[in-house]
Amino acid sequence: MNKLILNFQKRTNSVTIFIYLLGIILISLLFNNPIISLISLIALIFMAILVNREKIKTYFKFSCVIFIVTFAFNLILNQRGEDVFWTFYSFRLTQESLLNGLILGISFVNLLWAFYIYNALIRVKTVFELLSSLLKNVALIFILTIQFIPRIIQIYNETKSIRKFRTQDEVQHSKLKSTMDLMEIILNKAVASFMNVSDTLILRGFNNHQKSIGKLEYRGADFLLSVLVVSGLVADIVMAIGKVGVINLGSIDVRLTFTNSELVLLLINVILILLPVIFGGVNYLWWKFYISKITASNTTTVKKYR
Amino acid sequence: MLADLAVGKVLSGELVTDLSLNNNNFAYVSQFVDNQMVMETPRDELKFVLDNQGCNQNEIQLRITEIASYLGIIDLLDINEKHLSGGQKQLVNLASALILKPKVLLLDEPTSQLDPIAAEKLLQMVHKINEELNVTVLLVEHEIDRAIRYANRLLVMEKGSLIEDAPVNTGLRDIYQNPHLKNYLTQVDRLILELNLSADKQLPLSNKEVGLLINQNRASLNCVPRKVEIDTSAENILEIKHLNFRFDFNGPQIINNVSFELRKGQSYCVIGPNGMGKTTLLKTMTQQLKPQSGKILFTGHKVQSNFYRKVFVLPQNPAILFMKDTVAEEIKYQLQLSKRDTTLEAVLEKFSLTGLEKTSPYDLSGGQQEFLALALGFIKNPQMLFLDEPTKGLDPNKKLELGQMLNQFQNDGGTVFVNSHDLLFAARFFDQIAMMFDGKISQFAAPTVFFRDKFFYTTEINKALRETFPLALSWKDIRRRES
Repeated sequence: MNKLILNFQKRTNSVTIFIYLLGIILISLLFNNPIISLISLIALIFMAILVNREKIKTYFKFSCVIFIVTFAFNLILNQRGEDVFWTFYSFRLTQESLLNGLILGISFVNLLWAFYIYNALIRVKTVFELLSSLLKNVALIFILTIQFIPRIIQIYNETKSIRKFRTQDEVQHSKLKSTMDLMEIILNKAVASFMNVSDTLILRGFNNHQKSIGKLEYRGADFLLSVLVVSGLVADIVMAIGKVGVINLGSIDVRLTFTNSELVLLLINVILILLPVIFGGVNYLWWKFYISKITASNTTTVKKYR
Repeated sequence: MLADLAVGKVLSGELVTDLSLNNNNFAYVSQFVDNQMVMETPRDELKFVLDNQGCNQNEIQLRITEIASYLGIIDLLDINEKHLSGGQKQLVNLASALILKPKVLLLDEPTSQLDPIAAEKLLQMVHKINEELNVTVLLVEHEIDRAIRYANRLLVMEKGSLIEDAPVNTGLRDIYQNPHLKNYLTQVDRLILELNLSADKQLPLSNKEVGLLINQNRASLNCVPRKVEIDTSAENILEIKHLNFRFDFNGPQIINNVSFELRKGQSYCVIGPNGMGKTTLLKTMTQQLKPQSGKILFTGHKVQSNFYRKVFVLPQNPAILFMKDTVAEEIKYQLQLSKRDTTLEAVLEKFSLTGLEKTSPYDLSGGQQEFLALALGFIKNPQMLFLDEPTKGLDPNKKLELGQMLNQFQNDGGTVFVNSHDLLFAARFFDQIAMMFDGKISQFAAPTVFFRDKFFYTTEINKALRETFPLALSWKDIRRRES
């Protein structure tokens, strides 16, 4: 994780992070103006690279596949429009269907990248602090899911690579049957792992927890960031209601427009998406050019006992 | 409530205690190091426990500070769970158990997944807790080597019954009289009892005391180390050349330019602390991970698809191998796949699984799972066996059985490659030993040669007797001279 993002994560509480994540998901859902969507996509991918570089390649491939599938399906299903580029039997490729496919593909991919960032930034602690006082069972499901999914993936990878040493390649199953068998094995193994997590929750006293749960500490940065994100989101929602940055998908007169209001909207969205980097960047500059100058000594011993 | 963790039903009897049965009085640490943390960082984990008890911010802060300082885990508090070693995770689990100030600490094989150094550190910490805080500790273990030094009382369970309950000295002497339990004794105690040198000594003995006793009786004793025959004419079965592997672009080199050769019909053991790359090396050698550079040759050729037919891998968690609902189905499936004419009963008998035919493989104990996985491997009858920490979860008798089975496999022409941090097991059953540290592997050498110049990372007998009998590695190596 990039140090600026890490700074944002360390200096803010669970609610602020959650509001931010909710914000970027909403941005991906609300607007479908191609220019806004495209620039949001660039901002989201930039953020994704900063929050978790490890899985970026695999996810990038996955999102490309999703984009192509969405785009292709839209071309097949939606052939409305008057500017026809190409005809093949009854299939018509129009400018409008191309644009519709492109917009839908980008919107979908935007949502995927927003969830990538959500996945990288969300912590079990966040879910626990936000939900356990009100919705204990929902918190439990979240905790188990967050713990459980990576474990299932790990079990899947391990089982897949190790079963070759048992079964060799002598048994000729159909690919579907083989995958079904593998899934059954993995689910059996996952249940055992699931039981262990549930035992741990009992040991940690989750089943008899008291009323005082998940108290949050609010600092200046939390108030500032929450106000910024909420204001941005209110502006976004107002504009979305006023059809700014929203085009009529699927219609025959899909038009590319870009007004001044949309420029403002674009700026708000980009700032919202990049807020952790901006916050971390400001903090970094403040530290580098102010705090480090007035701090007496930076030797290891002094730092340890400061 | 603690009772919620119990599997099954109490048919008769009751638990008599002055304490109420809850998490505030009883704390539990399990053997499953990786499954015990719910949160991402130790700080969040400790906070989670206290939050559940309804503690306020001030109390949470104070208690975390106290426990983290006491157990020396302050530097670990904000490290992600993924980056903690097994020993560090178990310390965090201990902290989570102790943070509620329990009166009784229940430990279920807490060191079974740790390397010797990490295990020693953890037990020293448990001892400190017992001595300084007056917390009662009940530790369940099948390998008493380290823990027995800190215990006051020894209880032995067999087939669901308590067959021994005595002070440690008496308990250990009683164990020695029981042929089935003899192997549970520490190597140094066993040596002294076998040589009949301990009549007036309190057991367990320290290495220093044993060294002194043996030195005093040196004239009547003889060292007969295990002979290892190396067939230098045997051809190479596996050649590793300049192998490299790392997980992240700028991450540490987990396997760092490693080269070695394995000869047909020999047994090899790689030892070393946890997290030094042993498992990654085994996974790379067996193509579970793709080497980033370097060459692997199997019987002189590049690894091809028939490689999977000719070798068998027993992973650290044997449950990964299981594919069926019952033990019998697992064995039958493997017999059918490998076209072997052995009967199910014979396999069950050989691997001590009789009576467990209808049990789910996932419900077996750690040791039984290990033996079932091993049975599958032997049914397959590969040219080469790769085993990752095979002694994990095995009691001393089962370890002996495993060693003998591996030796038998080797006598039949098979090659064995094992990762282990069980130094005694390595010394007793393998022809060649090497040590892995920071991605580098030392040269393979015969056990006596390998351990001769080791100071810390060697068997207890070698530590105790290095002045008198530097080649002795287990109690069996020292015998009385025949007059």
